[in-house]
Amino acid sequence: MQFDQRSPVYLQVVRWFKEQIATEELKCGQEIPSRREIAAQLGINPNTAQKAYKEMEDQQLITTERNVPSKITMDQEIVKKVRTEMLDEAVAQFIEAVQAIQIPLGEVVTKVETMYQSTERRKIDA
Amino acid sequence: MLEVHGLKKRYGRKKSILEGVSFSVRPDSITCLIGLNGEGKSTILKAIMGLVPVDAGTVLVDGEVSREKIAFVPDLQTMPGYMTIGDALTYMGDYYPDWNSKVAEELMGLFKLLTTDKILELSKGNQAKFSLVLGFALDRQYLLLDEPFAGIDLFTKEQIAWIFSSHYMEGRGILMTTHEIIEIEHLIDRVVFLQDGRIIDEHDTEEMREVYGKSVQDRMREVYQR
Amino acid sequence: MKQYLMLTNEELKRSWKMIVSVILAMASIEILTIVGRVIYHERQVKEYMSYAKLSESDAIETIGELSFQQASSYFSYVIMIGIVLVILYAIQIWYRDWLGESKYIYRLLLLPGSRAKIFFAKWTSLALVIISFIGLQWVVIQLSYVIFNWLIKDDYRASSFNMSMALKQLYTMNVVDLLLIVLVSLFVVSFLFMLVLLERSYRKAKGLIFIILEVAFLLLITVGNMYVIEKLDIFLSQEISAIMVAIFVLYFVYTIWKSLRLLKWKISV
Repeated sequence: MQFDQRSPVYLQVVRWFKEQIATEELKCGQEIPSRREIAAQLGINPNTAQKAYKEMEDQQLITTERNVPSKITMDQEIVKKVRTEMLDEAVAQFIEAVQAIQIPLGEVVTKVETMYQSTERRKIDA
Repeated sequence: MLEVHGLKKRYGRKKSILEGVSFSVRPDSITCLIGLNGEGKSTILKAIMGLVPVDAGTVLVDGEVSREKIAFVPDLQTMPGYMTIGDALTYMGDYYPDWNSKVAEELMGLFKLLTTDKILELSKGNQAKFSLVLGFALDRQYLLLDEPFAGIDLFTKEQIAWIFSSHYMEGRGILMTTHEIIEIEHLIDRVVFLQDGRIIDEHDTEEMREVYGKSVQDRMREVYQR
Repeated sequence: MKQYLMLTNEELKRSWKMIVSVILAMASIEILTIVGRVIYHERQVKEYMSYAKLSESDAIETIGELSFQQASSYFSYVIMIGIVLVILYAIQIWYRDWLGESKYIYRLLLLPGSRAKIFFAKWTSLALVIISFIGLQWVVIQLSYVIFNWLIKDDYRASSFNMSMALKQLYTMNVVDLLLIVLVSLFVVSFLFMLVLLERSYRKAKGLIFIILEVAFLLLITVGNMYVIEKLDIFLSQEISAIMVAIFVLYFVYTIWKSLRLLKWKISV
């Protein structure tokens, strides 16, 4: 995993989990690696892994009970929220970029549709 | 907590190396002492270990004056030239009651080092790895590393950086010096900037990123180029 | 204690090749000079015989018979070289840890427990080398005496020769004297160690000043002692030597105390 050195590493780890939750690579109730394992896997300091897990617990993305591995939340609402949140974030960024070059909405939407479909097709072909 | 209070050191009458350096290293964290070459980073580590006398200052480990909980890995070889890696490991086991031969063996395997190799004939990268084995296989709470990445190629650097994300870090407080931070930035909890024998800046790295949106590298540039 | 013994073993392991080769070289040089002197003497007699047309006994009478003392007269030079080498070893045993390819001094100073064991391990190595040097010298003299007698023709040998005298001249067999030699050697070693540690602690100008001060101090107490003793002239010779010994033992203890303090507080890698 490549990290952006200008934003907190633990938040990048949280985001990495969120992406997997949103795409359902990590399903509700699925066990996730221990802090120790995730630190080694991502090449981060175990403290950072600890902090990321703590953050995810606070955001109720994962649940941790004593002596059992942490699990992804069973709460579908939260999963939905993660999806919306990530979409909002991505779209907001996109809009900012598009507004900067002053392209009208109609043109943008058409472009988005055609490009989205062609990349999807390419993915399927591959 | 490893606490350094008011370290002062001068060589001769004119040259002052440390002018009252104080900072602390939390257990369970990686603290990085950053400075340009010749700013006295190594001297601080050596002073902590009693390898150079200081003019003033104290070092406390959990409130006590003792070095028994600190291990030190200098950036040079400390074993006699005729020894093989195997000899050196036996030597460590003979002299250190807190030597953990199991950890040593595991790390030897992970770093792909051979006990039959002569230490001085190892490549620079393998020498650095071997030095880390000597440090990490001591069951000591604090570990001081002097320039663990100096003069090592990128690939080896990654192999070495791995250890800082491994379970061998558990319960350990690390203090390392370095002047090149790029590939290991994300591993560090705390940075202490040193200039002209003084600490000029100190940060929790995550806080620095969160509050200021700056990388350690950014801050380094600001600190040393003003 | 265990660590001290292991360190001593380590020190000897690091230098035994050098020590053994030096000792062997010295022994062979000494024996070779004996053989050489005997052969050279015989040739001298033969040459003189043919030159002056004399009988063998007349020639021997003119040239002189060869005694063991004469034949072994080079031994003292070899012993001098040996002393110089021991002095060099006393210095090298420290400096190699700083200046060698690896900086073993880091490891030594970082070892758990007191640093005194580092000092005493090196000190013991020196003591063992000195004792084996003296012991070997004794063996070589015995051996070369046997070789001398075996090699030389009876007529050529100075007859008024007596083994114990020869040995006395070169070498004392007196236990007290031997002990004194060992003691003086160890004193010199301790003094050298202290000088090395002074230099390694203070370096450069400051180190040099301290070294000069210590040397001056040693000279002062030596010369001062002799002067006082001579001037007052009231002591019996036994008392004089007792006082001399006492003062040097005190200084001996001081050098060790000082070295240990330097090693603990002042030494620098």
